[in-house]
Amino acid sequence: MMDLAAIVLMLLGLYALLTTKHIIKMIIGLNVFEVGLNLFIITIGYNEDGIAPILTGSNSIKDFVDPLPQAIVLTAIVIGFGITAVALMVARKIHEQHGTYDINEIGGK
Amino acid sequence: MAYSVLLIALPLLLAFLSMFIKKGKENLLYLGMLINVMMLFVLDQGTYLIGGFAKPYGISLVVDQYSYVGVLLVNLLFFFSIISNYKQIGKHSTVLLTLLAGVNGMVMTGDLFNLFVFLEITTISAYILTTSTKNYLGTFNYIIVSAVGSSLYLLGVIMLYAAFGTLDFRAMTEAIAGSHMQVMLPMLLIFAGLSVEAKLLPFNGWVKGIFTKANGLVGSMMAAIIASASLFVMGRILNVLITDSLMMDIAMIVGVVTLILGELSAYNSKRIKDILLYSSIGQSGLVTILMISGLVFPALIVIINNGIAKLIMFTIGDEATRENEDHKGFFANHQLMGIAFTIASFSLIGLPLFMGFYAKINSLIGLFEMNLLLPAILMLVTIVEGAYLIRLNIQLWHPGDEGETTSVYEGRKQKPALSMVLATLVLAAALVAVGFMPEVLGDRLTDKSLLNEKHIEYMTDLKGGM
Repeated sequence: MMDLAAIVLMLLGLYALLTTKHIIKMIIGLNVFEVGLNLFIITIGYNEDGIAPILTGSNSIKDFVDPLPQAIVLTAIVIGFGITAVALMVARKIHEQHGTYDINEIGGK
Repeated sequence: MAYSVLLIALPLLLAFLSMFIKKGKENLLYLGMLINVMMLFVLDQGTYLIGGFAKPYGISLVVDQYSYVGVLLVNLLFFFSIISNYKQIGKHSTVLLTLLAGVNGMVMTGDLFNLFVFLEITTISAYILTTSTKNYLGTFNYIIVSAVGSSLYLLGVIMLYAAFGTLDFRAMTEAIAGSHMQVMLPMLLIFAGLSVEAKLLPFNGWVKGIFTKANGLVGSMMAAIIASASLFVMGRILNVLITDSLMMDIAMIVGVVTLILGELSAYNSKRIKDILLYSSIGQSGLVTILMISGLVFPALIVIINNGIAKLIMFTIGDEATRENEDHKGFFANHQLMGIAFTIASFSLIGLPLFMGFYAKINSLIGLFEMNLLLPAILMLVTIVEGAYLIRLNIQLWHPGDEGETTSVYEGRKQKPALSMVLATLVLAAALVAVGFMPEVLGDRLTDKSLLNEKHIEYMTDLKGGM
């Protein structure tokens, strides 16, 4: 169920990227896409009634949720943050240069 | 000593330190670049396990024959690119150091997720670097396409992880052997994601916005260093992961279309940087075709030849058009740069006596053994390539139109940096030297049977055991 929600989020993000011509909205679309992807990665490691993967002696490895996707998501979030920051910086520069955020008005693609 | 990890860690450390320095940041860049080049001489082949986790659980850096060539190439090209374009470094020392760490990591890593991380480190540095061209819309376009591309790559990787439980290249190759439909979608996503950086159609819409206004530094970084690193990565993925025959056919078609359209667009272009950018796209297509065909050795020579030639041509091309878009007759006053540029373009075409000849002839020999269509395409494309590159050279050497004997080109204020002339001449001399002594490329050149060797064994042929 959650993985389905994640895929819907990703498609929503892609739809936003493909249809909007507003630079800030495109960045938001990219973020929605990335959040969907992160959620999808988390669902990969999830297992029903799983516990945190810390060996205490009384539990077996089978009870654990997979910690690797969580580590991956942590990295992916940081990278996504970096990309968003750079994209916003470039968006500001575009606004300084052209006075608008609308790609149609700028005359580009 | 684990020099492989130092090749990545040292530039990252210096990049961090450079943030605290106000003046003389570029000294740290020079230091990092020099130490990296020196470490290349003592770099051993083998696998380094980061954190000591056993394979396939941990992340490993793999220096096999394949990635050794890659590390050697990207670090040396970086060195020459910085020397040639040191005037344009400006505030970008920190970014250039992270970029160096990123490309080294991309080439050496043996882990699929780690590759994503290094890919992002490289591309984020590239985004910032390309803002120096002041074409912010082009950069924004690049950010969006590249971010979606790498997300697709990550999606493909995580799907493979969910199905097979590993992220290690080698373990993944063994795990996916024999699966077909199950790995089709992840493979497609991974290929699409990497195609953005490798400039393959239809994911290369961003290229024009970046390269048309790129200065010598950005142009050589993007067209020579990042392009080479991406092609090395693409080659490894195509050989190690993409084993499904349908997926290989798709990649082959993408490669052929990219090669043909890239070279034809270059033929139709007038401006020097447009010609170079479309030629880069065409070369990426050629490398993809060769890698898919299992012709790893010819593909490596194509990457090396293209990297060196593009560095020379972008650096000199920027110098020729900086003050005046009209580049006609520029070399009449700058013969040394002209010689380097002409050697690079002849090598790119694949004329005998230059390194490119061995790239083309090895590709042709290998492709002829498979079918007749691909070599025919490659030969036709080479003719087109020859036509536009020789036309460009004539324009650059001759002032005025055909038949005219106008005075020598005038009106330039800045003198080109001596280091740029020397660095491009050294690289051009390397292209000629390899043309005369192809044996430095390895024995595989003359040994025809090795051209057909199983590429996976070639790529994992190392002392440490991948």
